[in-house]
Amino acid sequence: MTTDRDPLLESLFAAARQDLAGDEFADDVMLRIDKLRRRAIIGWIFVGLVAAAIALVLSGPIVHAVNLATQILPESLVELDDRRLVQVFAPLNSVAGVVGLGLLGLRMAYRKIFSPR
Amino acid sequence: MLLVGRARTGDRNAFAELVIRRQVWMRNLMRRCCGDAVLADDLAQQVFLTAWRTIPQLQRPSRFAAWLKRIAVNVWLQHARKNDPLKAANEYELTTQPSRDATSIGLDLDRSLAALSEKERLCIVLSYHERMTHAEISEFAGLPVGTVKSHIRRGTQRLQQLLSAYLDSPPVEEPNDN
Repeated sequence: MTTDRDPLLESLFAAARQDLAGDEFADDVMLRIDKLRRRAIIGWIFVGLVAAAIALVLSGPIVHAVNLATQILPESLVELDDRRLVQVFAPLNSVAGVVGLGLLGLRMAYRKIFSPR
Repeated sequence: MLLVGRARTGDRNAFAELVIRRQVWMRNLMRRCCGDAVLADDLAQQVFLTAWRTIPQLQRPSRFAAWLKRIAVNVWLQHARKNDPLKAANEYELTTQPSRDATSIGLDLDRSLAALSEKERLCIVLSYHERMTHAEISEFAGLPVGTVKSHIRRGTQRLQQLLSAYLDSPPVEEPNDN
């Protein structure tokens, strides 16, 4: 591809390049980076503390919800007498299966609506 | 490339070495873009800070220079959008005495570049300072190739007019004294 640069301007741009001393500049950059890192560490500590506090407050209800979920999710929707059939259809014939299928459907619908054409 | 690889893993010393190696190029580029040495250094620092934050996302270490240049263009465009790049245009006085040292030539050049629009200046700087092709500039600046060409043509004409004092005695490249 052609560029058609003006020779005078080319020589001016080349002549204007300065060999700038870099130690002070690099020190300033690294100081700002260190400040950023410190701020990020403080931010993560804060997030961790908030998460720990929330976990402490909600630990009772969370344990209760998990217990409830472990009881409800494997529940069969249709009672089957044959043990083998129960095992084969367990992924579908349970509350967990319905919830899983529901989430899958929601994901597909989301992709269909929001995916770029 | 080794340094870039180490910097990607969060090695502070490797990144510091990259800053030292690239700072002259970056600061000169930003000086040509914004025409103000202090502001240029501040923008150059922002470029390196952004680079530090996003370097883990750099897929190919061999493309570090081009990647850094893209960050620089984005930082400059963001700055230019917030500020009025044409405010200095009417303050410029034509150069009557051509200079010989890099600092004075740089000042004359920067003042002349300030008379151009933000996009014209960016295209001119990427073409003359970075020696990029029209297609590369088009990709970097997000402008059609035809627009890039016309920006460069108009910008070149304006600079030729403003820097006409140099026509009779063009600068000879000399070793820098600072």
